[in-house]
Amino acid sequence: MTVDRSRRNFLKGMVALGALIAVGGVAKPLLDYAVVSGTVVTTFPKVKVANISQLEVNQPVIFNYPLTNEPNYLVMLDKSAEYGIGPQNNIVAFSAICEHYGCIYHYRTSLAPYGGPDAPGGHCPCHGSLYDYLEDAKVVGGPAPCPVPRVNLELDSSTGDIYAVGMEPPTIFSHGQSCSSDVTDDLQGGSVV
Amino acid sequence: MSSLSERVQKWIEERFGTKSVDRILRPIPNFSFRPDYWMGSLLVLGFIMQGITGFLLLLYYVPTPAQAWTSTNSIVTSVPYGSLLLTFHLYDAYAIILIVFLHMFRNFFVGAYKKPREGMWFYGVILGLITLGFGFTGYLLPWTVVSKSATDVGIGMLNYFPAWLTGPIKSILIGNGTDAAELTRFFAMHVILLPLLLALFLFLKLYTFEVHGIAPPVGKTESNNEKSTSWMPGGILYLLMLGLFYVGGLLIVSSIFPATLPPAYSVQAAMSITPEPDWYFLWIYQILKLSIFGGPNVIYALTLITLLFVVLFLVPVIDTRGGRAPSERPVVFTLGMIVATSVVFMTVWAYLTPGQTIPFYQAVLYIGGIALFEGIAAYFGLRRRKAGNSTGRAHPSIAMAVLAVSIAGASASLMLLEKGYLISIFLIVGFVFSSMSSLSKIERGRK
Repeated sequence: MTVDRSRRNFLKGMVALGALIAVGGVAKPLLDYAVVSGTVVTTFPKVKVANISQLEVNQPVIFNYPLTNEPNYLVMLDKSAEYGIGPQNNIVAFSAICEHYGCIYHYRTSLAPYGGPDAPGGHCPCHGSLYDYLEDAKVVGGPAPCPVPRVNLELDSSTGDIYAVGMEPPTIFSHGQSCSSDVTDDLQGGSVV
Repeated sequence: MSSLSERVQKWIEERFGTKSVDRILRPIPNFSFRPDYWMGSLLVLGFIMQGITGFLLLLYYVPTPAQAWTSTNSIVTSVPYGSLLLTFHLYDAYAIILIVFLHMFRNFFVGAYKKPREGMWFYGVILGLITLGFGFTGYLLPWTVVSKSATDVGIGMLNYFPAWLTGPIKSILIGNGTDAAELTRFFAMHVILLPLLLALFLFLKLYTFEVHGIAPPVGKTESNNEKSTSWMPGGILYLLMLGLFYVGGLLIVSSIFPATLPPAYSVQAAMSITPEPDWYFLWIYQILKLSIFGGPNVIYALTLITLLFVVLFLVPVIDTRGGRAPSERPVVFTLGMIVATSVVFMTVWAYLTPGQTIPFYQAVLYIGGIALFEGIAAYFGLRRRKAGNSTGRAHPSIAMAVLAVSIAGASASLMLLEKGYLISIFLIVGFVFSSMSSLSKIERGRK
């Protein structure tokens, strides 16, 4: 008795196709289920972070912004800084998340001991990145590919309240493409404060 | 008429197949009753113990950011034997990862991946990655300041790859990016997904193992008439002996050196520490710290590491020629030695230089030095073999020799680093000598 090969192959093919459809049919919903779609928030919230009367020189205040698990340093420097606010233009706020690998870096009153200029700023303990707070967190040492982003601050001169109102480029570490300029990516991947 | 006990025994043997075990499981060749042939079974045992202790820890552990650390802490401080259980779970994980590396290098150096056992190697590499996945996900669960910060750094590295590739991966790993989503998903992977994958690939690997049988010693040909011992009871007893030794040893170590729980994670706490991966990822961490990989160049480091794993996976496809003896594959063998030594060396180096960027020329010097020494040692070791046609018994455990060689080499380089020149000279001499003698011993194993 001869075997009809083409018929057999056709039947095998149908079985394989069926299996493929069954697996594929599960794969798509599974992926949709596991992958979280981004939130559609595109505007930065206005959040009170401190009152100017609470600030002491070189004593950073930590606040989360724009997401609930993303710390920033708000600090009153001992001299005026680029983009600083307040009467002496010496109040600045920057993301505390290092742009290199996302470690939380340390605020230092001088970067000189770490090989940087004698200016206040950030020193990352992970790989030694240095950010000069007087010059808009310019990278002055270490492997960081770009400055940490500045938080846009607003001072209500009547009450002395300081508000965070947005982020300047680049994006916060782990948002969007590394060091990109589309700050709306900062609002993705977590809960907004 | 047989006695009652004999009838009971016969009843059991018939119903549970203990009599016909040799038709199901290959009898064990007698040459393989040595611990280095049993590392795989020790790993299976190690994972079973992880399952048991893991289940017991789950009775108290709560996977939420608010309670992960406190519940872990209460296991350590107030649950009876909780500290011992948690320490055992941790040390068993460390032992598993160590044995995974030993098992892999051992099988590399004896050429056990050669035809027809390529499939075993593929499954092995996948299981190794699953093991590292267990380590990576488990590290986060106690929510300590070091482990949470270091895990975030690890996830952050994905950022340097194109977004279309890493977006979905990141989303699957950490959900919408909140602490709660990250912990929930790592927990789910650690206790459900990875154990399932482990069971699947372990089954496939053991099946393939039963198909081919264990690889004979280097220089010995495959034979079906090897003197063997049945699993019932010889194999079981040997496994029991090794297993009890393993579990007993771990228990003793766990009770003498209980693990301490680092402080809980908080942003404030994270600001005063240097995040570090656990020891088995330190060699990767050290590569990332090299000065040439600073800034956006880190993508090259990550690509390099990915390539290393791809090459590792493809070893049986790359090295297809010739036999299993080192002299029949001198280049592959020597490269393997250099990689093994470098991994140990980079691990020790990273441990000694937390958070420091490493000037690239230093890495070139030390890794180059290691490569040079091992190249020379391999050259002489393999050349000596060509001169004589010595026969001899199979070589002793290569894994042990190579490990000793690696550590000696790494230490020598580090001593140089710390300017202990005299000690380093002794170590280097010993290092070259041990490389040569272990190589020639391996060679003598060939008929």
